[in-house]
Amino acid sequence: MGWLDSRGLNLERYLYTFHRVTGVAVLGYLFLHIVSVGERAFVDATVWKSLIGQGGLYDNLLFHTSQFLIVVFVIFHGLNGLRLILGEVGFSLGRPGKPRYPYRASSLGPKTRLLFSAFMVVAGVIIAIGLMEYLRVLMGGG
Amino acid sequence: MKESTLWLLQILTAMILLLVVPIHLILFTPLVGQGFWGGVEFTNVITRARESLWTLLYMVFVPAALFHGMYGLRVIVLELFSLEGRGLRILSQSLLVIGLLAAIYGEYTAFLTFLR
Repeated sequence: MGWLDSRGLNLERYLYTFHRVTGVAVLGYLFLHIVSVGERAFVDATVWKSLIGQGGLYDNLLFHTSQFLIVVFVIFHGLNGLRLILGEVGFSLGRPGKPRYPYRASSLGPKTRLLFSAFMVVAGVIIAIGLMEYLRVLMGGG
Repeated sequence: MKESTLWLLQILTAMILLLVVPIHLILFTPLVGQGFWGGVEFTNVITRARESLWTLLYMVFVPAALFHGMYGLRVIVLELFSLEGRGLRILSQSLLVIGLLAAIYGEYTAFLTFLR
C-alpha cells in the first residue's frame, strides 16, 4: 500500500497520493453528473429548475461546496497529470547519474520541481476564479 | 487489449480531457462564460445541446472521461489487491461494462437532446 507508507516521503509521494484520491473522487462525481445532466433529454424547464436551477433541490451549501471541491480536484488532477505526461516523455527529467550515496534521482531534480511550481501557480489562479464564483453563488448572486 | 495499448489510450484520453475540460469549465465563469446560474439555466443548456459543435464535444468528452477514470480505477484496484488471472479478468470486465453503460447513457442523452 504505497499510499500509506510514510517512509521517505517527499513532494512527489504526496502528489502521487493526491492524484489518485482526486481521480477517484472525480470519477464518482462523473457518474452522478452524467445521470443528473442527462435528465435534460427527458424533462422540461420547470422540472429542471426545481432540481438544478436557482432555488432548486441542488441549491444548497453542501452541493455548491462539493461542486467547488470537485473543480479544485479536477484542476489539480489535470495539471499534475500534465506534469506526469511531460515526465513520461522525458521533459525536464535531466541526465541519469551514477548511483553514488546519497543518490539524488535526477527525475526529482529542480527542473521538475519548477514545473510543478509553475503548474500550481496556474492552478491557484484558476481556483481563485472558481472560488469567486462559488462565493458569489453562495451569497445568492444570479 | 495489450496493457501498453491501454496505457497509450489513458494518455490520449488525458490529452483530450486537458483540451475539453477547460472549455467545459470556462462556460461557468462569469467573465468569459455565462456564470454558474447562466450555465445551468435550462434554456442555455438546451441551446448548447442543440449546437453540433457542443454535441460533438460532449460525445467525445463523455467516453474519454469514462475510459480515463475507469482505467485509472483499474490501476488503483490492481495495485491495492495484487489481482491477476481470473480476478484481473473479472475486474477488467466489470469496469468495462459499467463504463460502457454510463457512456451509452451519456451519448444517448446528448444525441436525444440534440434532436429535441
